[in-house]
Amino acid sequence: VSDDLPDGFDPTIPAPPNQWPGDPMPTLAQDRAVLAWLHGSDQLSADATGYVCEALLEWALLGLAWPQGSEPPAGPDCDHLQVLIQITERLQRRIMLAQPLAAKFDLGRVGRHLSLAVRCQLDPAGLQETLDRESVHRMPWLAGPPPPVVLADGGVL
Amino acid sequence: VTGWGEGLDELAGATAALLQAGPVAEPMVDVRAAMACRDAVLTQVRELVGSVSDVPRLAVGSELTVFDLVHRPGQALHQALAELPRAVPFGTRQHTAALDKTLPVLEQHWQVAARAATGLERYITAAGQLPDQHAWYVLRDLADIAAALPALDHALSEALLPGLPTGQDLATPYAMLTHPGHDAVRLAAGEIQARVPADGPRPAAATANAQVLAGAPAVAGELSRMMFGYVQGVSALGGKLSVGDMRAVTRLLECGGADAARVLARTAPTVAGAADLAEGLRQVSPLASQLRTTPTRSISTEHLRLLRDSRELQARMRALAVQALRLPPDAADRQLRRLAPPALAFAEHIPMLTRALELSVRESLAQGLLLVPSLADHRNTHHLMWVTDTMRPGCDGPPAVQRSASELARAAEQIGPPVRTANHDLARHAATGDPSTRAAKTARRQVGKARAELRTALTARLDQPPALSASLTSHPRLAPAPNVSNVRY
Repeated sequence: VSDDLPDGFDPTIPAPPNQWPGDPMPTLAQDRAVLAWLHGSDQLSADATGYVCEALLEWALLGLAWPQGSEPPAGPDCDHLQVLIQITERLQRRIMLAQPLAAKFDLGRVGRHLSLAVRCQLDPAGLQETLDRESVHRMPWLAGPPPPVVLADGGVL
Repeated sequence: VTGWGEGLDELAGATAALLQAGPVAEPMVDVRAAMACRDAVLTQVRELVGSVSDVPRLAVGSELTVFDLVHRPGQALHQALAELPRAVPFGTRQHTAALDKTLPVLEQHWQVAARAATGLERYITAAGQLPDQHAWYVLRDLADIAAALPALDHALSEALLPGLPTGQDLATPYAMLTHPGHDAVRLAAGEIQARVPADGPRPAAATANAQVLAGAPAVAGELSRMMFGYVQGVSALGGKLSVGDMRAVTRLLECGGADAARVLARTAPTVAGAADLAEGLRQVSPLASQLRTTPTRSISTEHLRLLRDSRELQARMRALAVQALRLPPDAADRQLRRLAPPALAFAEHIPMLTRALELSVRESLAQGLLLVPSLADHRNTHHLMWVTDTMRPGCDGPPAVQRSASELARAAEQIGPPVRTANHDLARHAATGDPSTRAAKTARRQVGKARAELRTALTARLDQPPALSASLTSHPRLAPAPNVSNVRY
C-alpha cells in the first residue's frame, strides 16, 4: 500500500458505494417472479430450467402460488445464468433470516434445486453422474438385481 | 430458552445452507475436518432426540420395526440415527471451536454447524424434562435437521470421490457416508414431519416418504397410464396453454426422449425395431429444444399439475436410463429385454403428445392468448412488443412457434412404425416364454400394483391437514414398549 493512501486502507475491500448490499436486497417475491421468467429462458438448458421448475413447484407445495414472470432489472438480454446465481446466493442470506426453523429447511430444499440448476448449466455431465450415484444409493435396485443367495439346503434364491 | 433457540437456529441455518449448496464440484480443502464436524452434528442431534424421547443413553440397539416408526417415532428416529456410522473413527480427528475464515464457505458452514451442535450439549438434560406442550415440537425441529443429514452425507461423499483412486484410505469413510441406513433416517424423520406441524401456519409439505418413491421406475402398464393421462391433460388445455406449460412438455420430450433413446439403444441387440425407435427419438429431441426456446409470451397461467407430472415422468425416464447404464456389458438378453417395455410405453405416446401440443399452440394463438414478437428479429429487444398472431405486421406464413410445433409433430409421427415393430417383437417373446418367465412377469405386475397402492396411500396422507396426529401420545417419552413380534423394516 503506498504512502498516499489513508491509514487502515484495505485494497481488498471495495469502496462503500460498491459494497454489497449497496442496493436493497430484492424481496423474495421479486426473486420468485424472476425465477418464473427464467423458467422460460432460452439461454438456460432444458435440465437447468427443469430444476428451476422444481424449485417453483416446491414453493407451490408450501402454499405459494406460481408467480407471474417478471424480467430482471438488468433486462431480458442479460446473462441469465448470472441472474440465477445471484438469486441462489441471496437465498443463503434468506435462510439465515428465516423463521421458524422449518422455514429454513423449506428454503434449503428450494435452494438445492436452484444450486443444481446452476451446476447443471455449468457442468451437465458431472452433475448427472453425481445425481445418478445418489439415485442408486437411494434406490439400489437401479444398479441391477442383488447377487443370488445360496440357502442352507443348497437352493438358490 | 434463549440460548437453546439461538443454538438451534444457528445449527439449522448452517445445515439448511449446506442442504441448499448440494453436492459441490470443487474438492474441499480439509475434508476430514468437515467429516469430524458432520460426526459432531450427527451425534448431538441423536443425543437430543434420545433425550426428548427418553431413550436411555446406554440402551442396546435393536432392529427398527414398522411398529417403532408408527407408534414410537421419536425412539425410531434415535435408533435410525444411531445406525448411521461415524465418518471418522472416534478420537482421530476433532473439530475446533474457532471458525477458520480462510476455508471455503461450505466448510465454514460445517464448522458453524458443529460449533452450534456442541453448544447444545448443555441442554441434553433439560431436553429430557420438557413439558407435554413443547416436547413434540422440539422433536419436530430436531427431525427437520435429521432429515437433511442424508443429503449432507451424500454431498460429503461426493467431495471424497476425487481422492478415492489414489488415496484408498478414503474408501472407509466413503462407505460410511453412503451407508444404507439413510433410508431409515428419511422414513423416521418424515414420519415426525408428517404428524407434527411446524411452528406457525404452514401447509403440509412433501415429506421424505414421498421423495423416497418419487423417482422409482414404473412398470410398463403404469407408465403407459400415466402418459395417457398426461396427453389427455395437454389436450384438455386447448387455448389455455401457457408458455410455462409448453416449456414443461417440450422439456419432457427433450430430456425424457433422450433417456428413452439411451435405454432403447441399449436394448437394440435383443428387440427388433428398438434401434430405429432410438434414432427417431434422437431426431425429436432437438426439435423439442427448438420449440422450447422459441420466443413467446402467454396470458394464461401455468398449470401446476402438468408441470408436476412432467417432472415426475422425466424422473422416471431418468431412473430407467440409470438402470440401463448400470447393466454390465455382458448382460443377458432377458435383462435387456426387461428394460424395453417401459421405454416403449413412453415412446408410443409421443406422437399423440406432440399432436396435442401442436393443437393447443394453434388454439392459443387463435384465441389471442399466446403472444408472439412483433419483429421478425426478436433479438432486437429495444422496440420489441408482444402481439397476437393477427396483429403481427407483414404476416408471411404461420408464426415461428406454430411452425416449430408442427415440425415437431411431423417428426414424432416417424416413430410410430418402429414402436409397433418393437411391441410385436416383445409380444412374440412373451408368448414363447417359459412358465417361470410368465410367473416372474405376473409377480412384477403384482409388485407394481402394490407400489401404486402405497404411493396412493402416501399421497392421500400428504393431503391431510397439518395437525398433531391424534394417534400420538401426549409426550414422546410415553410411547408404548417396542413390539418385537412385528414385521421387521
